[in-house]
Amino acid sequence: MMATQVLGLVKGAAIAAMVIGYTSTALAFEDTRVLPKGVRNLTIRNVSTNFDSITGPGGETKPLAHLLFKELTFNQMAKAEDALKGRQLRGFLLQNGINESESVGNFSADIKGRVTVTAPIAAIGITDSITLAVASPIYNASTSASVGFTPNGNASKILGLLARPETNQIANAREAARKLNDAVGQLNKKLTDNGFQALSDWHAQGMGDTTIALKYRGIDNSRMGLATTTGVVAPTGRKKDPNILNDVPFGEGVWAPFAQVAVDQKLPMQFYTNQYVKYTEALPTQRTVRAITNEERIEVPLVTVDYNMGNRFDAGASLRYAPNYGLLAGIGYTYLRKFGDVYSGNLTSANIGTLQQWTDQQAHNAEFLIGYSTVPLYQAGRAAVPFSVNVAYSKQLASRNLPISDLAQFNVDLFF
Amino acid sequence: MQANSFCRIVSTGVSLLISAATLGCGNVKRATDQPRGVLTVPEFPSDPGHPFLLTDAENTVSFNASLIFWDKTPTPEQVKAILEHTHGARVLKSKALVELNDQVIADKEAVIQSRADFDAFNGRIREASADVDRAGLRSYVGRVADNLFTSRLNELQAQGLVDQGDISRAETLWPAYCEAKLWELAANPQLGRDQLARPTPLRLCEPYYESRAYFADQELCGPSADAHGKNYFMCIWREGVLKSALFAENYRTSKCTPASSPFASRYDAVAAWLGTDGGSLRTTLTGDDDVAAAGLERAILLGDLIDRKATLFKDCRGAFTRKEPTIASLTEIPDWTQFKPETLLQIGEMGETSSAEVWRLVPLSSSDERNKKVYSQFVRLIKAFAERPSTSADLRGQVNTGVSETTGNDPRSNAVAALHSVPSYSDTIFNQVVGQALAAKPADIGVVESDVAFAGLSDFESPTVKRLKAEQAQAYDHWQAAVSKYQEAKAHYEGESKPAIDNNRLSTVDVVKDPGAAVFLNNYFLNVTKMGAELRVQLGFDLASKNLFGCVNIGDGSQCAVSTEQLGANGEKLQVNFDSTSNLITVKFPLTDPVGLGFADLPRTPGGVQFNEMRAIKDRFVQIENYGNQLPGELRIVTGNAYVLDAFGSKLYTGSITGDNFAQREQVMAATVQD
Repeated sequence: MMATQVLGLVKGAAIAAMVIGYTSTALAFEDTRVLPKGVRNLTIRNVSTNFDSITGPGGETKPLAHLLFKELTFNQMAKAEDALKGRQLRGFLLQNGINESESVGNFSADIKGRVTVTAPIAAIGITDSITLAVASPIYNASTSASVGFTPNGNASKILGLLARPETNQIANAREAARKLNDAVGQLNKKLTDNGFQALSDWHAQGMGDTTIALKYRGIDNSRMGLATTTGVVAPTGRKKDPNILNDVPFGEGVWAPFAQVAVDQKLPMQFYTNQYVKYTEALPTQRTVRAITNEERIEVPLVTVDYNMGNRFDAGASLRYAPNYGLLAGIGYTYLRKFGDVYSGNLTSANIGTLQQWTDQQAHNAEFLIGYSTVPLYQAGRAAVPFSVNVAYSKQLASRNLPISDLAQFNVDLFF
Repeated sequence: MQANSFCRIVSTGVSLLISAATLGCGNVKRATDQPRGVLTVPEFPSDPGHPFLLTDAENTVSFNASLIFWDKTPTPEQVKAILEHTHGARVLKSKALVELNDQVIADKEAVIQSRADFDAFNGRIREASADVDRAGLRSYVGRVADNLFTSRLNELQAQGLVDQGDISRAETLWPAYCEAKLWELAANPQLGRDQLARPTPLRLCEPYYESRAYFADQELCGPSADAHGKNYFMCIWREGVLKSALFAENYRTSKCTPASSPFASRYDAVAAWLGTDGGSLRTTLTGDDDVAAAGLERAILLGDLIDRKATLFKDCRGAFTRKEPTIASLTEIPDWTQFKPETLLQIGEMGETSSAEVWRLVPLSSSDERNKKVYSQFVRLIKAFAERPSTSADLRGQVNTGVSETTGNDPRSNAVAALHSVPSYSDTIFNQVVGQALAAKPADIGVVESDVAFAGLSDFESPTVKRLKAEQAQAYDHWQAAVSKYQEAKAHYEGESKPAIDNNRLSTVDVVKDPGAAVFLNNYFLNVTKMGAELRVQLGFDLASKNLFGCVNIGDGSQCAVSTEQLGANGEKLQVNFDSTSNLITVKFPLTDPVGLGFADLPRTPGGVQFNEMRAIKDRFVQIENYGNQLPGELRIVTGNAYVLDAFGSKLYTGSITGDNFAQREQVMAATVQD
């Protein structure tokens, strides 16, 4: 009956990517520092976000469930019936001068999501200029979904036409009324009949993709520092389940090597800046997806296809203030661009077009940081324990094809 | 690193980890509940008190229905065409019944009512005329009547409606007409009643009868001196029939059949049968044995004494034999012979148990327009005379010289009027024969030219009578308007509404036969009868040699027994289920004998109205859903789905039905508008 799907929530993968970075640094607040040889660092990073809207290809804001804001047409009603009954309905519509593309009502929906990631990041100084880090996040994700259906005048009209005495199709009218009154139930029934989970509240918890990175500081003098980071994201997280419409995947399901260059400039009065660029190459893989089209997203088979997730480019700049008494404060900007995904294999062009649409993503974010660190005091022998605590907030300024989600991040760094 | 420092670090780290994890908790906001509209679910037109819309008073409904089984993939356009036709049929039939009820029948009732309103004035006018100078009126009417035939002919000639030749012909035929009216009266069983005065076969013919000295015997034919009246049977027969041209000129010498008859002539036979008081003729004709009376009446007028009810008269079968020479001798006028004798006295066969009717009593050649023209005017004249309120009730059947005073309230005088209504049934039929355009109409009372002859009647009318007559004229206009409206409504129904239904039926067959639309088309009847707590169902298809019978208990849905008498030799049992909530009768039967049940293989042909191209249906089951409903005009309809099922209930074919009780309903309603 309803050929809609919560594709918006597929963007949960992007949420995951945004929530937890590939490195141990906080978002824009990258730096070129490495751990001294033999020093270990454990960072507990907690990132959480709520989301209920998404941006479109033009950057416009839409409800996350915008794809569920669909009209139910007579044609869809006819398609939901068996072949003969569908033809009889179409004939009845013709008889009464009703275009089968006309709507009988509108679906409405609201979907809200929340993702919380707790990521322990372990790092150790291999040498005084090389640090090895491993991050393995734990996801806790929930979505709440509510779908409604409001029939319009055409629904009443068709019921009236069926039930009028000279037509005397009252049994059919009653059946149609029941189906329309239970349009959401019919939708869920159709979903379950086709192997989907019914659209309802969803929750999951589990491990995300694991990042392994090696950071090398090449320059470190009184004016600047430069470091490169290379690594790989391992697909250890749960992939998108094609049978759950409002699923939030915990991983991309692809191996993704990356490389980053970061530069720090030390400024007077204990200010310094940082700029970085990063490129992530997603390696080809195979993925099981629904062979959806824009016309039909439910009565479609599961197929295993060749999948090449779009590569990603990140860049950022920040200004930080880190006086010797331990205060941490900063503002930053980040840019994210993920290129469009590419599907191939056992798919039609319609499938490919639908699967690939809205996968080219971009975001501009402003970020703020405040925290406290005992590291300078520890280095000066004035603190017994080197650690830092900070809170960062990332505000999405603009985006394309991404959920609108501001991130709140809480970091605790321990050095030992 | 010292151990205590390490522990501090670890404990701090653990606490931070816990706090971080705690910070990460939190529930997702609930999605906003979305509106869910609720449509009103249509209700079935069921009435538990009246299952399938049947009551104890109206406990049977007969549907004529059509069943199609769809092809696998009919196009929406084909479905549309069939739906349009079936829906259109229901609408057309419903409208037709509404039209029949609200227009035709209502208009017919209006005609009856307006006619009654018109007729009601007759009594009031008679009553208002009670103090009329009856003697003077009778004298006046008598004088007018004596000359009415001649004066009317003169009027017609003056108006250019007839020429001299027509007049000559009319004058030639008039005696025959008066003789025939005499026979008509003589053969009337009512002649056995006592009358205050001699009934006249036709007042206008009295001059003719007088010219031939009929009814001259005052003892037999004079007015009754007794207030209870006297019997005029012998007057009419001895002073009329035996003096009539046929007997006086012909039967005196005509022999009876058989030759061994004891009577010397037919005249003698009739005279003998009459005796002095009417004898066996009177006994038979006016007795209690209506069948015998009708037989004799018929025999006299038909001239056929072979009738087994008239065996008393078998010794002279020729007494009333209608043969050309005999008829020709009814009058001395030789020209009478130019008319076919069978057109002079033709008898309508009405059956042995009903009175024979003279239905064409005047000389008439159906191709002779001149006769029609003249005699239609005669009938108009007679009718106008007879129906004139001031001249009918108390003058009809009375001689103007009668001594007895009669009143409209005297039952015997009423009987006289009933005895010999003018115009007679024969005249009415004659009107129909010559055509409505020339037929006598009550309107002639006010407009017929012969009013000129009766102009003096107004001198006898009181102001009240004149007012009543004016009101009656208005009532007549209303009546005629009602007649016109009724005829128009009836013509519309029969000329447009009914043909539209027939055309729809024919074109429906065409669209169903469109290749790809259906694989089966047949009609069936469905009779549903409520017998107490049972619904009895009978079903039969066209081309079937077997009907199906079933019965269901309304209360618990159990099947009730179908009698072996009902099943008969060719009956099959029908499983019937009834759902009072949805007003649904579901019937199911096995196709153990597809041919006998109307499901034989039958290819579609150009002229065929049934076809069956379903395959492998033997021993399958047919299930038909009949959802009942009622449309305006009290048209009961059934619609629903039908299936051919296998033993496991899988649907092999899906069909649709549509039916109604239009034929039954129309038959009942149309009976009320029979003219």
